[in-house]
Amino acid sequence: MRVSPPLATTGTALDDAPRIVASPGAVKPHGTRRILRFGVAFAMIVQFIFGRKKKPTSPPGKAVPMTPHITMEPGGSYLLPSDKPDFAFKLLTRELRKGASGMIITRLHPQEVRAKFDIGSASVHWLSRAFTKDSVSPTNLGAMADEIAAFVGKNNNPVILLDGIEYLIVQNDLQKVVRFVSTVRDCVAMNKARLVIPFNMQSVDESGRALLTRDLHVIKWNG
Amino acid sequence: MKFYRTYVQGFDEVLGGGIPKGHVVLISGPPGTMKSSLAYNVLFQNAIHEETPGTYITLEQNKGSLEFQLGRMGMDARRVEGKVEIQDLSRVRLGIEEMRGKARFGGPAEERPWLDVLKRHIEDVKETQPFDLLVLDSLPVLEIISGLGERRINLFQFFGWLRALGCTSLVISEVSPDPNIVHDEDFLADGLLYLTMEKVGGLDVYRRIRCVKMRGVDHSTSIYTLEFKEGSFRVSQVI
Repeated sequence: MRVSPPLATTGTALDDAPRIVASPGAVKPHGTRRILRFGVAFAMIVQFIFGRKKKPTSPPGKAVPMTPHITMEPGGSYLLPSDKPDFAFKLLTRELRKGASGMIITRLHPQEVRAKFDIGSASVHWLSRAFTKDSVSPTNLGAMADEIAAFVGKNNNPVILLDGIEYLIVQNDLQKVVRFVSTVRDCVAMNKARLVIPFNMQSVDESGRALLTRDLHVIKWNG
Repeated sequence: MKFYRTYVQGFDEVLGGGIPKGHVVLISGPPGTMKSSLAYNVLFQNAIHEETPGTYITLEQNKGSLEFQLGRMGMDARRVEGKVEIQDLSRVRLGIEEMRGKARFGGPAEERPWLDVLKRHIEDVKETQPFDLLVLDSLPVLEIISGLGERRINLFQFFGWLRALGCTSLVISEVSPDPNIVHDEDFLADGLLYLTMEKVGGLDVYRRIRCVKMRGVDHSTSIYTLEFKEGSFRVSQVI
């Protein structure tokens, strides 16, 4: 005799809602209550998964709770407190997989970036004093801002990862870097682009942090 | 109004379209600021993109050296053959200086004819090979040759003569290290592009460009970074 299980679930991918498949005729007398309990549990899971998909962002300067599903809103500039840029790269690659156009300005060598992260055709600009085709001078902040403006003006759904702010501060001075970040932030806002800046908060004092974070959404996370 | 583009990426927007036709424009700055290259770039690019004939008169650097320098920058003179002519008058200057050394004469009244000789030569060139754009490199050397006595009056007359030629002129000039000193030519020219070098961050030096004036044009007077990269000039904002 074939015994069918009373309930079966399918679907394991995180983004797929599990489907409940009931087998007719196999429901026992207490099956209705079971289904109800399972339904409640299922509803809670669905609420948990989809309810947190879109996180509100705080006003500039205020902390935003970080979750793996944080949404980078068009026109938004985000500062990610971190001593390494890896998590910022993960945020970027997630957006690139969704079809965004990427521009990366980083202290990492372009070969290392391409080997380490799945960035596809995103452009990589190496923040270095080395005189190479891929390098951008850390003291030519205006040229860098113009490059970003040209990129967001030419591409659809642009996302910029700006790594190495600490290096820029060393090579220039904090005031100049704050002006640079503000310029880029304005450009991002005007063009509905998105900007993510990994930054070691310990690299500047409190007043420096206040200046740098004033116009940015600070992402709060446990990185 | 017709404009000649500079073909410096981002700078024609700063100038409100370019250099107005018929203007006498000074390109002024200390050594190493790429004044000559920038001026030739205007001739070269206008010849290539607009078929505009141009003449470059060099009173200082000889033609071979200039062509080598420009060729290394991707502006091969052969690409604009028949459209841009480099007139090498550096030998004339050397001859004058030699003569001066021997004869020990050099009062302004006696030297003035050399300026007339130069003017006649340029007029002859224009007649035989008409040009719409002219570069004169450089004003200080012209002054040495001609010994402009009453400087402001003579410059006024010379700039008037350039306008009467019916072309657009770019005149290369040097500047004093003191930015507070204003020269006569700054008042007399229709336009003034000022080039400088600025040390940034303790180690780097950048070229800057600023349009101080351009008569009849609503232009920006801000300072921009001037770069020559991958075969072309471009400006970027200064932060």
